[in-house]
Amino acid sequence: MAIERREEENTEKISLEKREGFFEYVKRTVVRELRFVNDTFYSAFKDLFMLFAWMFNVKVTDNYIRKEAETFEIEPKSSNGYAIIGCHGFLSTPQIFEEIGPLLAEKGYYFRAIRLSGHGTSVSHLATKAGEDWFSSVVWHYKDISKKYDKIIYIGHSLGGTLGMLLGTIYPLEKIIALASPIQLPIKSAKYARFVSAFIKYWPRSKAKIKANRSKGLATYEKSPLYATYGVFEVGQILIERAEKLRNDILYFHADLDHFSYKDQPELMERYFENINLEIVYCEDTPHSMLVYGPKKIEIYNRILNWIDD
Amino acid sequence: MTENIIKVCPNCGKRLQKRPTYSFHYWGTISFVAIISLMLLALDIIPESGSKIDWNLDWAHWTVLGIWIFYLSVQLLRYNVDYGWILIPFAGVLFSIFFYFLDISDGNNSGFLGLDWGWYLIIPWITFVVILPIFARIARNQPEHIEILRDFVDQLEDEFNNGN
Repeated sequence: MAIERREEENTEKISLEKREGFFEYVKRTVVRELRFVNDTFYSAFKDLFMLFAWMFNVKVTDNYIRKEAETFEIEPKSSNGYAIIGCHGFLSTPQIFEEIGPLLAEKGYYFRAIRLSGHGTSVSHLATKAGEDWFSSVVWHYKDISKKYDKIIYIGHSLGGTLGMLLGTIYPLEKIIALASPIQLPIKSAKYARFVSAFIKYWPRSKAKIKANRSKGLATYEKSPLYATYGVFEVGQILIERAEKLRNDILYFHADLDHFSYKDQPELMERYFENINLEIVYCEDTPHSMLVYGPKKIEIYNRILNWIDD
Repeated sequence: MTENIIKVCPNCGKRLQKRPTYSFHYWGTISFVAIISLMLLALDIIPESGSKIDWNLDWAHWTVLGIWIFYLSVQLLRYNVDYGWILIPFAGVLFSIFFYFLDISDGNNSGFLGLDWGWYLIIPWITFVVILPIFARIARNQPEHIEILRDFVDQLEDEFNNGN
């Protein structure tokens, strides 16, 4: 009985018109239809309006640091009192020290792989940077480490090495290791790079390089911002101006398969740094990114470890 | 360069501001302009009377050219806002050439270098959009990056030598 009664009282059996009254029913229907039209037009034209707005939308620079590209440090189990700063090169990230870092820490060195400003974020962010930004990154980390350690060794790859030598002209460093670092690249047209970047902002890297970096999971950039590129030349120029002030022992690695503009770098090193103890290592069959690629990678690691220990 | 950036925490690098949710493929805006251009060309070639298409363009090519110059200028600018001092004059030169051909292709063309009304538009345009922004930028006393780096290095050296 109870079930039958409930079924009789079921409002779903009564039409909306009878339940709500005619005018309420019409109002409800019209509102529903208008909402349907609105949603349909919104769906159809929203993207079109957004695309139109996108055409005038100023490109936003993303300076969010990717996790894999963050600065990292390794504390040794028993410290020997030395700290090592590792600095990556242009377009690269601290990831290149992921293999050699633990090896150095095992020997009792405190190791910190630093991230240069504009790297590991976005290529448009790097496009706003220049030499002074990168050098201030290096100086900040040097000052931070020197609060704990008196003896600091510097390892720099490419631009990182050039910045390290420039750092050595101001602050005391025990030793400097520069891997394929540019001092004075013979590319005359480079001085126009900043002006050209108004029209051509990025220059693509080779597909092979991109593929290799992707396969290694490196958070490096796949195109080079022309505005920032000239900063590398400027750092080298300032270093040459201050070459006489450098007093550190330097171990310089030259990569055999490097870009043609790097061919003269060992000779330039010898010419500008003639008063210091400079050791140049010529690495055969070795590409520019010698800490990550190449058959001589382990040999290079061992050479670095032995030279630091000496 | 000034930075138009998403704010992040300076210590940990975490994003304090949400990433813009909308983005389009690079060919999106190009296709958008191309479709509008095709529409304008289609409107021009469709005859007012008769069934044969009139392939001679009357006005659409000028409109399409103007739209593409505008599009190119906007695209260059939105990627390089800081280069407005050279990009807007660059767009100004393109528009001046555009006005020149627009004038020379129509009207009585009895004025200087065959122009009719063009000079009254082109001369103020070149003055205010091309010459003055470049002049003002060159007149601005802004140190180069290499000078900033040199001063920075010297300053650090002085600080270190003075024991700070």
